[in-house]
Amino acid sequence: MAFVNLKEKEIQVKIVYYGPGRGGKTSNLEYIHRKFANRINTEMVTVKTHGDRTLFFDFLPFDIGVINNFNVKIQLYTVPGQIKYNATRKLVLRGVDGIVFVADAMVLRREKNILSLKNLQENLSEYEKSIFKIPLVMQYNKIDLKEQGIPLLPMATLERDLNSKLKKTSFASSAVLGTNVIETLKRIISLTVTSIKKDLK
Amino acid sequence: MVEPNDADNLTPELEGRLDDLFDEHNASLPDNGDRDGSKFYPLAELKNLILSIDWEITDEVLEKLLQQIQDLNMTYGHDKTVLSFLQILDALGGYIKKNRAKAHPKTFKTLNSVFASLDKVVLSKDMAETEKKKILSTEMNQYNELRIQIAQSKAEKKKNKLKSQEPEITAPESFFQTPNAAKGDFPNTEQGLVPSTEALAKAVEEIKQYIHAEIEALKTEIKSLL
Repeated sequence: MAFVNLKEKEIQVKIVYYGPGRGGKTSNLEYIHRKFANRINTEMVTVKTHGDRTLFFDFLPFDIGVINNFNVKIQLYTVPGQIKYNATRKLVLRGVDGIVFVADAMVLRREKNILSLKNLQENLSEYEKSIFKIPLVMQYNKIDLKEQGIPLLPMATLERDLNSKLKKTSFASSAVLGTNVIETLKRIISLTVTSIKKDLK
Repeated sequence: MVEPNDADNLTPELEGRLDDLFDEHNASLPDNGDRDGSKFYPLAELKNLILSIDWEITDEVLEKLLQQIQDLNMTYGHDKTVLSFLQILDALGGYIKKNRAKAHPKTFKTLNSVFASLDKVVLSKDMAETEKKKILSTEMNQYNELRIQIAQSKAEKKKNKLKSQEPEITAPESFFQTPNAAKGDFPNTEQGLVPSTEALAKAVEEIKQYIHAEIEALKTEIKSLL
């Protein structure tokens, strides 16, 4: 449940970008930060290893202003995708309100996507949250690699593998080019804020 | 975009606010630094692993390296030049895994050089195929040179080992002419066939020197094996 300060009329919304390692979660946040640096006017906090991998998490907070008399503050997080950092992933998921699942569209990452989605379901269940009920947007990333001749999974396959049961909104994207990065963000904020509003009623 | 049938209806106020805030057309363009599509780096993981080997050779890193090469083989299955580079890297990785720190010193230099050339070929989209093949040929020659050097070095080591195992004949020949005592056939001292006390002392001294030299050689060999 989002942090709601009724006295200050403020809502903090926590959105986590989840998915397999090297899928483009950090690239999503980096694009948002670079593109809208002047508007969101906040710093992105990131902790990386020497090999440029996310060691702990990335954090990008910003305000979207007053909606329905509440000042809405958005906090975007990423989790480290590598299997060994599950404890960190669980920690970052604490108090999550919405999720963007960033899948890697490369053929050779097919299994890793499925494992990561299962891992998300398990970790959410520890906080008594259902992957089916939580606001979630699917993002199939790296579509730009097709131009480089790298084999990608067809969208139908990605939908069948990851979204056939969940039936969530999905986007084909390129985080490095910015394709559908903002659409994904807008969609998850809308779904999450609407969900919080419903819970508050 | 794929829309689910049961998508939530969004409040117009929220939608409007998000559209204003995230209007991409009027936003500043992202840096042209290191994140545009042409700079996507498919060899990032391979580079990390090769740099890691430079730092420390561990089973984990070597296994990841070989796995990463296999992954890239799938990714670049359509590109014969890239596959040849990967084949060389795979052979070098396998050799390092087998020999670890005892691998020929030039191996690591060759590994880095092959990777640097692969990097160049993968990142230079406009590079002509002939140019790519020329770079590959240079690396292939270096790799073959290394193989020859490794083979020579092995042969030399084997030769030295055999040499160090053979005893050096330093004792006087007369020392090896043992009389046939069983038959009581002792040669006459005067004939000079039985060694004199002086000759015997000299022979003992020579044997001492021989044993000392053998011990030193063995010590050196043991050190080289550690």
